[in-house]
Amino acid sequence: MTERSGPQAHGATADVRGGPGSDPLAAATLPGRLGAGTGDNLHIGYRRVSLRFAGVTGVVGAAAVLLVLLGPLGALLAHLTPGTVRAALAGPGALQPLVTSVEASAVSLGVLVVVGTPLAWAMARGRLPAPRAWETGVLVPLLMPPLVIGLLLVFLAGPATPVGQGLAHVHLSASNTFFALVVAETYESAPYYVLGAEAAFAGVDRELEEHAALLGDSPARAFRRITLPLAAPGLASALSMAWARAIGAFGAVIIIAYHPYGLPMQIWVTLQQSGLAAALPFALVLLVVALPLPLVAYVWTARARSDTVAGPSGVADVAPAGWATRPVRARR
Amino acid sequence: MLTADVTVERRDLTVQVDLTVPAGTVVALYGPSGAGKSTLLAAIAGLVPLHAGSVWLGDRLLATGSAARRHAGGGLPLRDRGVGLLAQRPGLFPHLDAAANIGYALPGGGRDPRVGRLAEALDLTDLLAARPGRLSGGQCQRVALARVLAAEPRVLLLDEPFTGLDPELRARVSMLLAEEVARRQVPTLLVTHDLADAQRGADRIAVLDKGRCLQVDDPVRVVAAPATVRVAALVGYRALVPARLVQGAPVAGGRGAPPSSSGPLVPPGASILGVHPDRLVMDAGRASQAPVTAWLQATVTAVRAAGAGMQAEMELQDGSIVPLAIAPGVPVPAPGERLPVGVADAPWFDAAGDLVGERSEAGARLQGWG
Repeated sequence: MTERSGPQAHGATADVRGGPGSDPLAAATLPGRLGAGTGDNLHIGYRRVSLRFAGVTGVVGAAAVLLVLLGPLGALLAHLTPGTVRAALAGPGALQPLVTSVEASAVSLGVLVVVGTPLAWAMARGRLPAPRAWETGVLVPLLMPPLVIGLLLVFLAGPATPVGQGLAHVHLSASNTFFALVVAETYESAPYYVLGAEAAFAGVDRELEEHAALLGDSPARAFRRITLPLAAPGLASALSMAWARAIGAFGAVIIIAYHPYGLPMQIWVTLQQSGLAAALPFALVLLVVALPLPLVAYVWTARARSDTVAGPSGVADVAPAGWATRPVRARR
Repeated sequence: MLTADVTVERRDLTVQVDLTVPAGTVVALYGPSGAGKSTLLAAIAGLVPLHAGSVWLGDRLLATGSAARRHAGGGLPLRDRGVGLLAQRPGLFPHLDAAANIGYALPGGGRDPRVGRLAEALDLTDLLAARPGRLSGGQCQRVALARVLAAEPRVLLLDEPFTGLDPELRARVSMLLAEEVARRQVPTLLVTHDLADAQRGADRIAVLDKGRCLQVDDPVRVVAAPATVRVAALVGYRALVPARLVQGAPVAGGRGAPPSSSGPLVPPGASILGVHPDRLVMDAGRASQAPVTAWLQATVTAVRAAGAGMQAEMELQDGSIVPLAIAPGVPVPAPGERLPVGVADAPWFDAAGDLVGERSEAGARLQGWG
């Protein structure tokens, strides 16, 4: 039993992550199958060896992937000394882009939570007419190159357009303003949040909401007591992913919000003016701001999942949708 | 009183049932799997829309399938129905511990005194701090039942409440249910595919098959006087024997049984005899005291231990095989032996499969059924 489930389980994880680790595993189990009929003991022994081989190959493969993925991070740290970082950040106004970026991303995320959460819930529960259209609509910003988004935003909301003129009436402009930065970041991060939140809500068993209603809960109360807590880990990871996208948004930002400088623009401008070495400290700052939230959310999601995954009681299927499944959905 | 006259369209089946459950009584919905029992329960609870008909609890309209009212959501919102549903899947809230699950509908939540009382009654006290993921299937079932009872519903709908429970807990749960039903006078519907469960817990049994209610009767009569051959088959009749194979007296050459005094009591119009294993007698001497309706020729195909006694498999002349418990003191027959078996107080059916004669009096009159 364990002999069988081992490679399958490994293969499944590898598939979700889309890593190349799945292929050596699948290939390594093949000789085991071919070995059938050569006597039970020999067969089992052969399989065990092949599994061990598969395990080693898998670990080596995964390590290689990790190395490639984390390589740039290592390079960054190798090229920085505390002194250069301190010097770069001590300059007058050097921290202003950080403040701008954090503020704009926070506002973007606020907008996403307020508008995107109900949308994601409605999509997950099939409450919208033409569900495919909504999903496509959410996917479009993800599929479009950010630069193109920026260009199209100029044509949609630039000062000369009706939308731009409407904005001017409320003293807003979607061109080289803080507001423009928020708009660009929202466009770039919205799909990550909405699709992630949709998966999180879809992972909550509807029967549980019905039970809550039969026990006297209004829909709003059941949402607060059942749906939200069960979807929370998935929502958190969606939100942190959106945070990382928003704070690192560059393509659309460079077109419609060159000013005020956020961190990505600061890196770009420093790179243009002073070269690679001068830009690196700001890259470190951007990473330090962007990464912790997703990592915390990831750890929380993993813990919440191990808490709610059930034994024989039939509640296993309500494990919150989380990080592992989200990128798969987004890529669809 | 719960009154349900409903039609529910399922993909493969139309469930059409008219049922009344008086306050303080338990009606068991008994039938094979796929008969529509759980669908009916879900429809009454409001989880499945009605195609037609209505569900009333007293003078409150819970659900309706009429076009005029359907725009209003087909009846009361779930939270106002006062329905306590124990579903087949317990549906516990995985992020709450057992205590919080049980106390979900209570103002005090998991710390409400009622939680402790119910947990004690259902032997859950040690598990109150555990999340559902750590509980076994039977424990989840009991937590779910406690959650339903704690909410003090106005109607109880229980889907297989005894599955996954060992005999001691089964007795405990059925006692608790009987107490609750009697104390709060709740109409209760209990779904089961086990006739013993239905007879243990219910005042009346509704036999469901293919979405239709074939018979609603008290637990004795449903077996003593099945309305049709289909009901007979569902409540445990193992053979339906043509009248021509029935004899008035045991065939000579058997165990030297004396001929029965009466001739074959085939009522007018009857053509099929229902044979229930529990109503079979082998020893003619003892059988003479029981109201034997008819005798059948049978061949012993196997003999095996059953519980503390022995059991013989008897092949009747029409080819059907019926188990027969061998009473203490009766010599155990050998496989291959041909024997007359008596059928005590068996129902007769006409060619169309309907029960012949009014058995309400006969059933009550005859010893052993009442």
